[in-house]
Amino acid sequence: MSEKILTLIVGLWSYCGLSQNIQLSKPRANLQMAMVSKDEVKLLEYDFRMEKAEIRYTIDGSEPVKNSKLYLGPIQISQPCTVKAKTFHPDFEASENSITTFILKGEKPLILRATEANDKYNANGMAALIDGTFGAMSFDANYLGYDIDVVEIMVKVDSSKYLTSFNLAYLVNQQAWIFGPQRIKIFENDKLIVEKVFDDADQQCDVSHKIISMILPANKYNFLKIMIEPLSSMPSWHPGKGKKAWFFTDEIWFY
Amino acid sequence: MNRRNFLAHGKILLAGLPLTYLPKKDKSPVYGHNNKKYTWNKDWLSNNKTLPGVKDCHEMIFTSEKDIILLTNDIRNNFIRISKSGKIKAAYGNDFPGGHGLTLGGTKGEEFLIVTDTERHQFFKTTLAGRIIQTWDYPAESEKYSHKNAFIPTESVMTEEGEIYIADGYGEQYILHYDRQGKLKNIFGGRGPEEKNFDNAHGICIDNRNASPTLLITDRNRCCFKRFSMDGLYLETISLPGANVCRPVISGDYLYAAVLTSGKTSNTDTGFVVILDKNNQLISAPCGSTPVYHHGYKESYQTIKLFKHPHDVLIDDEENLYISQWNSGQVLPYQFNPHV
Repeated sequence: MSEKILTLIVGLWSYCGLSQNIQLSKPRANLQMAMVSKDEVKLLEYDFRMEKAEIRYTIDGSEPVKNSKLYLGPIQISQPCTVKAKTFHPDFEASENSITTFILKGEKPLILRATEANDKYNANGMAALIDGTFGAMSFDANYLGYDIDVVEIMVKVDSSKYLTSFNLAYLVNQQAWIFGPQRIKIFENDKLIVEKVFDDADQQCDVSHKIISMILPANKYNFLKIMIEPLSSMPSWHPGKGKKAWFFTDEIWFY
Repeated sequence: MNRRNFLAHGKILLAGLPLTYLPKKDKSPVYGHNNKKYTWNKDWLSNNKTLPGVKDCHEMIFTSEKDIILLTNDIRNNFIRISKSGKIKAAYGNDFPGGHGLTLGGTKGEEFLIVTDTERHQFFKTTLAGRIIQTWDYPAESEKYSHKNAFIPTESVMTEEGEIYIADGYGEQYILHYDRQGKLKNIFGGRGPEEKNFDNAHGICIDNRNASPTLLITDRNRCCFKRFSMDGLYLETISLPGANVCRPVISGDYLYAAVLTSGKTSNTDTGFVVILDKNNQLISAPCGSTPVYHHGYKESYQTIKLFKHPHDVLIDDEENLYISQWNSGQVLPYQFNPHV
């Protein structure tokens, strides 16, 4: 009799150990990255049509849990923050995070001239770099894509303001041969003001939308030339090793 | 209580301790909407001592003997025959490295298969055992194809009279119509922006639910099915925003389709299933968003990550669903049972 009970217990234990919950998909967000300020409030909206499912979110970068704020409608965001949202449902495992990054609205330069992007990925021209709108995780919208050795962007900034940093957003999708840049140089009147080398440009990473921020000597500037070098040789672990990588950028701005 | 009993009971108690740490047994979730809901039978194939290895599972048919025959592109076993109860009856066939489309033709006792092969750039009539009876090369006679590699047929359908339609879904996007003797009779569709054109004519079936039969053909990159007359005239578009549908499958009054991905075929691991009623209304989307219609269907998308890339759906005589998947970790088909 005790043997039978033991068998039953072990059987139950095995059965429950083998059961696995299926995970939900992430909630769909209307924004993946956006600029905000108190004068420029953005509305973050989620969509997830599933009965009994809830969207729970945080705005402090922490992991959403079952009793985090419940999403009931568009969220007004006016301050820089990282919003994370997950879907929850009693019958399934919670989803991965849908992450939206809100950054402080910056100083928009005037673009005088920019290297032409590839025909297929030109987002209707260089104005895309300063339209205040970011792309998301897909390279086919809102990005300028380059398959070239150097990208040059000539800008005019507000010469009455002290500027402290240059910022650039870009996409990494290594499976699609898209990497971050290996070097950026900024010149004023042909004089190099600042240079940054990105040693980790060839490191493996997941599909991501990143921001580079380069400190400038605090000064008033007028005309600047930004020279971006896409990764010139893809690493040995990549199917395209040795070839130059694509570079995709969607926005540049200053603080 | 004597010492022996104490020890015996003690052992049981000790063995029972792990019970307190048991993960919550998951309930059987229900997938789908309205009157087309299902539960997933996770253990469908678990009684087999071994399972045949597969690369991609593509299409399935249901024989008159009530078995499922699955076509894969794995030349270790292009065909896998499975009973409804989940017993792998046979795994065979080594001729089709690009085995993709599978249709059943003929009548009971004299059934055969139409197989399309995207790597051999041909399509075939075979026995149920996979032996090739007839081979068709690329349709040079149509003057639309300059070389064989341009012909990458994805699916076929056969009429009761024995005529065959082939969907060149990965090639030039034409639909080819062959007569009973196997001669090319008509060609329509093709690449282009018009309603009569296709951008990935992935699948095709005959719709006999109305007064006259018509063809339903997938336009996968544009997330819709297109209806054509049997002579190749465009009739209407059934739009399913967000659903990169594979081939249409009709069973009873309903139209079923595996949806490879949500929105774009580059959105990996986002597949689900759609079911439409006789009026082309989307009424259920297992593992997909609740169908909502407001001046057109709201975009559908995956909500439950059970599937990665569903490629075909089969419905048996008891309304069980079977879903085969492409590039999904080499999994064999899943069975879903109707939930009432």
